[in-house]
This record gives sequence, C-alpha cells and structure tokens, in this order.
Amino acid sequence: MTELNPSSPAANDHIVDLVSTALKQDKRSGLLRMLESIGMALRADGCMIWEATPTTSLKKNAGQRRLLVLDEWTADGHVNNFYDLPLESGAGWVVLHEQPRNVPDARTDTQISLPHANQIGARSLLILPIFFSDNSRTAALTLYRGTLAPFSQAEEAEAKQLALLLPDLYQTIRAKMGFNLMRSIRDELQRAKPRLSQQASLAAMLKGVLQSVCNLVGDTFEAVETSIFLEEPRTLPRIYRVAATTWTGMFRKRVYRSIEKEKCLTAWVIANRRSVKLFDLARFERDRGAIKETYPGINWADSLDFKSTIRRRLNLTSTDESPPLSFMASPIMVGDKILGIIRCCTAQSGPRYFGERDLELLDLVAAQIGQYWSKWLSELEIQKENQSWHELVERIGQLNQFALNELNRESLEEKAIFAEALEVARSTITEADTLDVRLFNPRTRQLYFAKTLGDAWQAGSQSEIDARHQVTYDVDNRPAQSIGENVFQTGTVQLITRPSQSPHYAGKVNFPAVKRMIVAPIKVADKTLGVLDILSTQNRKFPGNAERIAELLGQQIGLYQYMADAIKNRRRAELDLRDEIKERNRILEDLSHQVKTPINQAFARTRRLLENEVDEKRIYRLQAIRGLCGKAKRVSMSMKLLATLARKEPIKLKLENLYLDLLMRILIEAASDSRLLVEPGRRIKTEVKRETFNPREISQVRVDFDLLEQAVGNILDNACKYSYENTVVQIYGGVTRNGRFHISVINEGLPISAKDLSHCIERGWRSEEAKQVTGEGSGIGLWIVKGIMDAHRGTLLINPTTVENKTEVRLIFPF
Amino acid sequence: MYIVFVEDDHLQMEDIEVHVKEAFPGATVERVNTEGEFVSRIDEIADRMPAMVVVDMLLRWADPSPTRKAPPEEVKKGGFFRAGIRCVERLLANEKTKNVPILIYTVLEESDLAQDLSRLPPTVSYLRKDLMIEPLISKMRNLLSLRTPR
Repeated sequence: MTELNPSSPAANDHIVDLVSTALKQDKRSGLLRMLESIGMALRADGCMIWEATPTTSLKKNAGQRRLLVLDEWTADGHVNNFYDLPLESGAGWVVLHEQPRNVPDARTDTQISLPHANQIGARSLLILPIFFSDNSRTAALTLYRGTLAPFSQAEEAEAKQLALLLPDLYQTIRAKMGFNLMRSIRDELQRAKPRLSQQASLAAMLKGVLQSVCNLVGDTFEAVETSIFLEEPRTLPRIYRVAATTWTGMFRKRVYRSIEKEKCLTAWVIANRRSVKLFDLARFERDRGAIKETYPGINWADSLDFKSTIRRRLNLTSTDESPPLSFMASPIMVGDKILGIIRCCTAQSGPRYFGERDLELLDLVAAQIGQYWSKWLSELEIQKENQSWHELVERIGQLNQFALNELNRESLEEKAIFAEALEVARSTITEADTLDVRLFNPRTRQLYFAKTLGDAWQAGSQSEIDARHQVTYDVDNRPAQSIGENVFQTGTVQLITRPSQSPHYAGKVNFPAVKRMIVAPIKVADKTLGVLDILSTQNRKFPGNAERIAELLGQQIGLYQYMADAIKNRRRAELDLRDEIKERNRILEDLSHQVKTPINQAFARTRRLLENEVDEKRIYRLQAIRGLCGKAKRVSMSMKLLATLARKEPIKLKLENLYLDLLMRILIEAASDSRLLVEPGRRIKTEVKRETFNPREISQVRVDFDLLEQAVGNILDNACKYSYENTVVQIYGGVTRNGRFHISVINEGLPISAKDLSHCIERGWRSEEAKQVTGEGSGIGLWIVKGIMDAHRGTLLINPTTVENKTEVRLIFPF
Repeated sequence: MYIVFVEDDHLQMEDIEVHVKEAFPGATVERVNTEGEFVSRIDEIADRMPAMVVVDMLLRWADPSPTRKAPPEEVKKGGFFRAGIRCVERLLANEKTKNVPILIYTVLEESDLAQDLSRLPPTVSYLRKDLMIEPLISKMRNLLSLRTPR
C-alpha cells in the first residue's frame, strides 16, 4: 500500500476535494458526503462520527454517558443498525483524552468493543478527536477497514488534517442549511395574502403556504413527520388544530383542546411554552427519569402509532433494533402569547436524530411562523373590523330612515325602532345572540326592559317569559349593585367576560350560558336614558370594535327616544293649544253676543233721538254717541268674525236685496260717525257722492246688511284715521268694467306702497307709519272686510296710492 | 293755574275739560294731542311752570301729515304702550318740571305698570280711567293741595 505524505499533492487534493464537497452541501446529508470524501481519501471501508450525548455532562452520571452516531458512511453502502456506544469504548477513550488512537487490530485491543467492531466489520481502526471551535460538541471520528490493514503514520497525519477541517466545514453546512431554510420559509410566508372569508378559517385559507413550510422543514431536517398546529384565537380560542402535516399515515389527534388535561408531548410544549428535544421516543419509558428531570410532567402518547409505523416502513424484523425515534418541537409564539406548535419526528435507517442545532433552527422557524401568523390574524381582524364598520354605516342609514318613518306616524311607537336597532346590533356584531334595551323610568327610578331580542328571551313557559321581561333594576345604589346600574351611573360602556361569575350579574335575569357581554349607555348628549345589553353565548370573542359599535348604537337609540318624546310632547301641546283656542273663540263669541244687544239698543235709541233733535249742539253730541255706539258695534262684530275666520269657517250670510235708501243711510251714517271720531282740529270732511249710485244697478245686488255696515264702517274708519288734515274722504258707487257694482272710498293721506298692498289684508299687519299715527289698533280691519267680501263672493280691491297721495279702496259685489 | 293734559282722545278730553274747569275756576287747561307734540313743546310747557300734568299712557306719536317727522329710536323700540312713561320721564328729567305733580291717568291696570311705578318718585301718582269724572277731580285736588307753594 502506498503511503501518503501528508503534504503531498495527493493529500492536498484530498483537502481540496473535502472542502469543495462541503461547499456544495446545504442539507443534513452534507455531513455524510464529507465523511465519504474523508473515507475515500484514506481508503477506508467506513467512516463514522460520534458525539457525546449532548445534554449530559461527561464528568457526571456514568450510567448515562454515551456516544451517539452523528453520521456514518460505508464504502459498500450498508447501514449499521446500532447508534450508540458507551463511553468506555475506544471512541469514548479518544473523546475523554482528546487524543487519537490508531488500532491496528480490533481483536487485540482491549479498549475496542469487539461486538461493535464485528457488527460494523471493522478490523483496523483509526479514531481521532474532533474539536468544534465553539466547544458546542465533543466528538470523535472513526475510520475503519474490514481487513487487517492498519492506518500508517502518514495516513494518520492526513486524517488529522482532514479531521481538523471537518468541524468548521460542518458548521458551514449547518449555517447554509439554516439560512436557506429561513429564506425559503420567509419567501413562502411573504407570498400569502389572506382575505376575509365567511366560509374559511385562516388556516384553511393558508393551507397551501403552511404545507409548503412543513415540506421545507421536513426536507431540511429529513423528518418523517413535520406538523404545524395553530390557534385562531378569536374564532376558536385555546383550541390548536393541525394546519399542515407531512405525515401520510393515520392522524388521530388533529385537535388539542383542554391543554392542561392532555398528556402528550404537543400539549406539554403548548402548556409550558418550551421547546422539547428527545433523542429516542422508543426509550421514553426507560429514560423517563432523566427526561422528566429536564421536562417535568412530560408524557408521550404515540398518537401517530409512530413506533409500529416506522418498523413497517423500514422493514425491520422483530429482532432488529429500530433507529432512534427522534423528536423535537418548538412553540409558535409572539411575545408571550402561544399561537401553536411545530414538531418534527425522524426515524431513518442510519443514525438520524435531532441535535441541539436542529432544535435552535426549529425555534427560529417557529418564531418566523409566529410572526406571520400573528400578522395575518391582525390583518384579518382589521379587515373584519373594516367590513363591520362599512356594514354598520349602511345599516345605520337604513335604521335612520326606518326611525324617520316611524316618528312621522300618527301612532308613534318607539319600540319598533328599538327592535330594528337591536337587529342592526345583532347583524354587525355577529357574536351577539341575546340583546335588549333597558330604559330608565324616572317615576320609579328603575331600569325596565323596553325591548328584547334573541331565543333565550323566549325560552320556557309563557309565565316564565313574562316574569323575565318584567324584572327591573334600581339605579340609585351607591355603590352600584348591578352592571346595568353601574353603566347607567357612569355613562361608560363596559365589556364583561364570564358574567355569570360576576356577583353583579347573577340573581335577576340570568342567562347562564352567556360567556361575555357588553353593556353600553343609551344617551343623548350627557343624559343617560337607559342601557343597551349585548350578550354572547359563543366561544368566539367579540371583535375589537364591538364596544365602539355598541356605544354608537346606544347614542342612536338615545336620540330616537329623545325625538320620540319630543314629538309626543309637541303633539300633546298642539292638541292642548287647539282646545284652548277653541275655548277662547267660544268665549269671544259669547262676549260679543253679550255686548251686541245693549250696544244695538243704544245705537237704535240714539238714532231715534237724532231724528227729532233740532239743537245743533245736541245733534253733534248725539252723533258722537251714535258714532261711539257704531264703533262699539263694529268691535263687537269683529270679535265674532275673528272667531269664525280663525276657525276657518265660512261667514254665514243673511242676504237681502240692496235698496238705494237703505244704502244711502248706511253710507251717510257711517261717513258721519267716522268723521266725528277724528280730532276736529284736523278738519277732515266726508262726502257721499249720491249721484254715482244708480238704483237700477243696486237693485240687482243682494247683501247681508249688518256685514255691509261692518265692511263700510271699517274702510271709512281707516280712511279718516289715515287722512291728512284739511282733506275730504269721498264715498262713491259705480259699475266696474266687468259690469259689477262697487262702493269705493278715496282719501288723501298716508300712502300704501305697492310692496305693502298684499300685506294690508293680512291678519294683524300694520305698517310702521300706521302704528305711529294711530297707536291703538289690532290690524284686523281689512282682513275682516276681505272675509266679508269673500263670503259675498265679491272682491276687496285696494289700488296703490297715486302721486297725489290718494288711495282708493273698493268693495266689488257680484250680481 | 296752568294744567296740562297729555291726551290723544278728543272725545274724552271734551268731557274732562268741562269738569276740570268747573272744579278749578280760573285754571288754564291745555291739551297736548300726541307724544310727538309733547316732545316738541316740553320746553315751552316747562317754562310756563304747570301746576300739574295729567298723562295718558297710550299715546300715538303724531297725526298723519305729509311733513311729519320720523320718531326717535326709543319710540320705535318702545312703541305706543310706553308713550306715557316716556313723557313722564321727560318731565322728571327737566329741571323746571321735575317736582311738578304728575298724574298717570289711564285705562291700564296699576299692576300693568307696577314695575315702572316702583321706580318713579313720589311726585308721580296713578289713577285708572273710569266712566265717572269725580275720582279724577278728587285726585287732582289732593295732589294740588300737597304741592309745595313756590
């Protein structure tokens, strides 16, 4: 056999080959390729690397000190079915003494375990210590030949050189493996953009992505089973479902619910929020003491039927030792909140088990999944919130329209509005299933149920239902004795979880199945009118915006209640006012009637006295008295007409044919009376143009004489009141262009502008100038004249004042 | 004796003047028709040192006239119902008439004027208008007898 010079070109080639092989690797199997390179360089039949049991100190607990195969290569490709050595072996000696050991013949070296040597077919061995630069492991490299062919010094030297490179190259492969895995997972996770769906859970929406992540992890770690379990906290809190898995066999345990009661590895990781790594699940019972020292309370239930399945897959006979069933699991967390777990299990021919570095990498994967899962949950929450706000805006719009229609009804009933509002609450807060409106009764100072919604309200017999609806709550206790009372007093919304455990909830209307509730004040401005209760029996939490929605709906309901009260009060006041006006009108008419008789008598007597009087002074005085009586008569008649016209009733007419004599007497008396009531110093005269009245035209006219007197008296009154001094008020008759008979009065005095013409006949209106020159007056004179003319089917016409300050008022009669 | 009546109803005044002249022979009774006339003549009235001024409450501002002047802002704001009070206040503000007995003679009830009367000095009295003239004459006698002779 040619001996190699360690610094020979061939040795250098072996180094180059080892390094270039290493640089091409990015999987766990990279170590195998490097062992192959070393084995072939040194013409070995096999090459193995051992490491001390990672979590056990070599210095203590001798019974547990072992060396485990990290990886092995055989020239003929066979797989050795043993995986560990005691520390009291040749490799163990090398690890402890950190010195190489060249064994020319295994049969003669007492340190070498002959059964193991025979098992792997080793005759000559070379065992070298492996030094990891970060002291993370204690390892040994074993090269062996199946024949008696000891390794030479040169070969030993070269092996030492190669062994020196091995740890760093292995670390490089591990680093690459970890980097590639994290990058690939990140790329997968970044692609996912979940969209809110009513039908699918988040895990279902992201199944493809999570499966890809599982596959990547499984490939990297060469795991037989990689599974991810996740929680969707809002919809199914504290329930962890399998989101993705690479296990193709039977999968009995897909959901973990009551974590505290579960006795298995997955539940332990979730409950304790700690990673776990177990070398060999098959040895769980044997190593239970040591395992529980590290992981107190842990247990393994073999829900996948792992042991049997692996033996079948590896075609192991009953006497074959199965490879380690290596397990590791990391909690998926964000902050201190546990969201799920990722777990891997491996069992493959050849020494495959998870090391510390593998678990650290899995922790990083779990952290990355946690970060994205939490982000997606938040995004979905935001989408759901946005959707619910959008829906709420729409529903509030519809609710307002509904409320408006209800408020405009004659038979206003606010309970219909409350019912609609509760429906809006139920549809926008989908977790709500039992709702009610409680209003404050100021008389009893209690809250009572004004409207309810939900099946729970209708449960039981009719008497139970009635009793439930009749419960009331005080509001004046200090401190508050119930949740509703507290909300009513503080005016702030409250969210209560597990209300049945609250002393303030149980006792009155009790829904034991309720898991959470929101109580919001029903308010308008700062005044609280009641409370809105929203209860949920579901496991899902209320969405993040539920309290705000409840608060908003409470304000809406408060506003509707306030408006309903205001409308009812207004309608009541209108009815009262109508009744009062009716009563006043009745009194007015009654007073008018009482006054009418004595005035009529006084008027008539004065007229009779005037007929026979000759003394001028007395005539003047009697005319003044007649004028005052006439004025009083008109005021009395005005009261009666005011009551009739204010009720919008027609004026009843007693029509008679108009005769010239009677008309003249009415006009002359009215003219005289009006003049006498004016200050004599102003020297206003009245003149009746008798010649303008044609008996033939007049005889075709039918009038109510009392009302004619009233109308003529009113317009003459105005004409005299507003005339300038030293002027004449003229009264004349005639026929219009349409052939209708008219009585007209013209005076020279205060002008009426074109703008004020239409106002003159409005009830109660007087111009500023009129107020200044008359003082007293109600502004109803011309309004009454119009009413009289309308009753006669005639017309009151007021012509605008001319440039000579002359104003004409005309009474036009129909035929 | 010079007595001034601020009264816009000539029919009432005719009756009052007859009775006052009968009750106070030799007295000069002068009537002021409107608030506007009173405002323009107050200095002249004050110069003549009236023994008493009898004021109606509800007074129009002026008679219709193409040359009439617009009333001041306080008249527009206060209106017809406070015309008498404004006349009383002008009398009290005038040095020559501030101590002259003033009688408010009106159809308004005393309770309608309670707030105004409470802040007016004792020289201002109130009497409700009646169908009978005697209460007016009696009141005038009383007030004139209490007047501090000059």
